[in-house]
Amino acid sequence: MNQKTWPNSADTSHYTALSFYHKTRIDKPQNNRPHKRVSSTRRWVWVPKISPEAESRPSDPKRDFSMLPNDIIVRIAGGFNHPTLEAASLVCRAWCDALRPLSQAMRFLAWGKKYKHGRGGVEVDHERALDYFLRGVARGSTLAMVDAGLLYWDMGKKEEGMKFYRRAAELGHPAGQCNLGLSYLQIESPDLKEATKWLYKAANSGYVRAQYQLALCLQHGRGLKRDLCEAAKWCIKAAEGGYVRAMYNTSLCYQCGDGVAQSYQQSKSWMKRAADRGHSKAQFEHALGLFAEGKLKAAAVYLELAARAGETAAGHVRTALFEQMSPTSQERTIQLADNWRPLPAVH
Amino acid sequence: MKKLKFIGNPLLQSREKINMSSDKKWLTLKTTEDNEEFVVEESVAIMSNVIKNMVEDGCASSVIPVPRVKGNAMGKIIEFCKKHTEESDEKVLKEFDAEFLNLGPDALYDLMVSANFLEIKVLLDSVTTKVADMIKGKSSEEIRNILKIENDLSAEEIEESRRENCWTRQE
Repeated sequence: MNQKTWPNSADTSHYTALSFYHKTRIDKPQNNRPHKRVSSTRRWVWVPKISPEAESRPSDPKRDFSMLPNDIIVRIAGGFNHPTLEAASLVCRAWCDALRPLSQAMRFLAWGKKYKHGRGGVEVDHERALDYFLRGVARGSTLAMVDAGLLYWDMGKKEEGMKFYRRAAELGHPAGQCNLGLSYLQIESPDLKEATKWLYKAANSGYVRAQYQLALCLQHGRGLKRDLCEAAKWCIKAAEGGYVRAMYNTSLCYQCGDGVAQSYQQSKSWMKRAADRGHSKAQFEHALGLFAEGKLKAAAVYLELAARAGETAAGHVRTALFEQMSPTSQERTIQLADNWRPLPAVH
Repeated sequence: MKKLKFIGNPLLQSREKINMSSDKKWLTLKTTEDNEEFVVEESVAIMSNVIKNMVEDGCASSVIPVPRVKGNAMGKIIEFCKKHTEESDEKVLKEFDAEFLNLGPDALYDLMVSANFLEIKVLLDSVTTKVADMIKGKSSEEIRNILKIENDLSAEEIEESRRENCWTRQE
């Protein structure tokens, strides 16, 4: 934008806050050299004083959040999920009007997902799904940007997909940042610097998938200098955030002492947590652990679950174990496996 | 007496001022609403897209008048820009931002409006994210309390909005 004068946004509210300052005399130089008391070197600095009392003083005009420019309101709400967006739309008339496009975007997003997965009575139609996602993007929804990016990527149009990830990423959407980072790793000529930059941004925002991917990069020295301690740190963060694959990986770290002090106790604990959340390899390994402790019935259940999830080796072990069990015990095991539900987690 | 603000260590900057003509370029930003002046490095000031355009177009003199932004908000903005110019470690910046934005709604409002006006994308993103985090998962009434907004929606308008959103809730 080439402009020589100040922008004149008519809908920016005017505010006339009083400013409060206090004088501070800087006596000690920060480098700790002995201070020479000469009057010409005495410095008076006006330090702005922003205190909560000053903000809420009755004579201060109110900062009216309902008078914010529409594009700022949309920016605030850009990444909201449906319930929060609905609540925000009902705050006041100005917000209702400003967020109407985003609410419409939510609707398009819902339709797009239906057509993408073939749910709710419609058949899978990627073109139509993409059309809905793009309509959501046009209304400023960062969630729609990520979904559009995902769909383009699935369709093989990686560059297009990355363009949308970048849009969401630059607006601060952690999933967008994470996906952008991952795409830089997965393209034909990977850009490791960009990949790690965006993964770090997403990881620092608390996005567990990015934290896990960052841990993997650090473990394998991909794009970053190999650092097992840092890798373990991020892996544990992701695991504590509920990411199942990270829980499994954390268990292995504790088992082998990679980047953390070796601890069979911790390893066992994390393996069980991953197993209880549906990680098939974790279920198999946890079952073997239980078997070693002589807890055959519990081992049998986890072996059955792992076998059902596709671990063929677990299937063989379970068959061998069943041969040692009574028919009643076998039946009980199947029943427990049928009634088992994974604990809530991030996959 | 004119009040001049040197951002950072004033003793250090007094030495720098002597060497000002050497490598670093300095600008003075003057908030026209309350006549506060801020001396900052050009590299820090041009984090504002508006100031950057003025400098590049050659229409910025050594003193740039800045309307609409109050002195205290300007001080905070410059502090933010300086840190983001000096530091490149994401983690450190994240920690700085978290502490920096630990402010009440009124101060956040001032920063948001000023950052929007001055087109400082990084600051605007940080503040809007902070405000979003404050109200995520809250009900309309709770949001109104936090941001001190008055409800001016009629019962009919609320009902209509709920009806519009109803079918998505059923998904």
